[in-house]
Amino acid sequence: MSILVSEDTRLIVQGFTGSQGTLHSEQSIQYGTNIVGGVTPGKGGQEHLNKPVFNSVEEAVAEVDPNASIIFVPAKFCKDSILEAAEAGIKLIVCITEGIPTLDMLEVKNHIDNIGARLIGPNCPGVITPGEAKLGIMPGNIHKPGSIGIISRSGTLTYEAVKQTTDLGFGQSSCVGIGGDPIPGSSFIDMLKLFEADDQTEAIVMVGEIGGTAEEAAAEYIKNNIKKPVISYIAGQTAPEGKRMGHAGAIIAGGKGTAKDKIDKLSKCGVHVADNLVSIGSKVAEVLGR
Amino acid sequence: MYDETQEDSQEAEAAKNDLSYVSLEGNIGCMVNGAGLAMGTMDTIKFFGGNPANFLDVGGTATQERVAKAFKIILRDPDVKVVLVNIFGGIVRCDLIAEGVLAAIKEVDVTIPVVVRLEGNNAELGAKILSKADIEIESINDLADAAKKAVELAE
Repeated sequence: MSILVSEDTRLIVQGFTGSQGTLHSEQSIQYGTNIVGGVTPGKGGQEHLNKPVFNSVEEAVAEVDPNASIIFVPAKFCKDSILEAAEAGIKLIVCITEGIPTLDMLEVKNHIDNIGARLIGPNCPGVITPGEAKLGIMPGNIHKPGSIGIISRSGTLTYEAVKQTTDLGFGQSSCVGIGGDPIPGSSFIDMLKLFEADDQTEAIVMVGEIGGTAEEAAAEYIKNNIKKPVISYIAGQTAPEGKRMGHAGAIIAGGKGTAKDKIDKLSKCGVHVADNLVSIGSKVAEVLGR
Repeated sequence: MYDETQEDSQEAEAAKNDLSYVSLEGNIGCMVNGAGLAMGTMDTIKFFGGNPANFLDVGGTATQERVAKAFKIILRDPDVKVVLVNIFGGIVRCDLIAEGVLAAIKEVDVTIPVVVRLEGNNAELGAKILSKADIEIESINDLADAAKKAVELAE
């Protein structure tokens, strides 16, 4: 098994015919992902990458029966695109776009929680189950089917964790980028729950960074609910206070959200913290005793 | 009211060029793709006994144009003794990134040592392109080794 996506995933792409949508759809199809169509308003009836294009998600649902959607539309249109997908009955929505206004996300988050849809991202690399389906912008070739579940707030840091666990032979069950924004559609805790219940996942790697309290909340949850070993790395130990480090959510404000606080809390809750970015893989090996 | 004269001059210049940059106290310039990896690279430098001069996310594509702009901003800081470039290739092939980095180094006329770590798609080909260059670049595939080298060159 795996989490969220598998060979049974039937994906539509919102923003299919745009440059980003096209580039990454091509890559995903090449990886073996089952893309059943795309949505670009005004281009319904056309074909793109040999797949049908629809004017709306509702039309796509009626015609090709998708069970997941990935969104590549510009930030100001994302609120509408996410809600359109959720209201059309899509249960898994992955949003790659960076720069969605926080107020838009507040509304989106409430709405999709009420509908019961799951949103991954925004501002994230997406989700992959190695060897089965790639919903995102990550390089497929560094992944390998295996036993480690990876959750991260950062794209390129996810790739580091993936590369290290691949090089050491563990491979990954699934990898999820939850995104670097202050209000993510899904939290570390949401993903921890799924990995805990997944037979294929033997250990979980959680990559966090400065800002907010998501890692602290996850640490508390892990202590009480997760039996599988959790290995963590927190980026931003050298970040100064009051400066936003690229990601909208990565800021130490009023002394809160430091890497040290997060590492202390995680360690206290039984999480195995890698002291450095380059030692995530070796920490996994140490914890699993091989 | 936003007044750019009140900002750190490099940070203001970076903002104009759509690069994410934060200036720090150290002497190892950092150019990285991705915000998380940029922070992770700074931490790695510190871990091996060095001090990062800045946070800089050059963005997902790392084209010659963006890399050149990033070099210009990093080199405005007179404390910088060495630049560590850390790119995880992702979708963009490392050989293309390597060519972009080389062209940018020539364009900006970088005279201090540059350590480049390329990982991802076609990383070996990228490293080969860098090692054949007629300018002095340390091409190191392992991040720990690359960080150690940068720390050594900054001393």
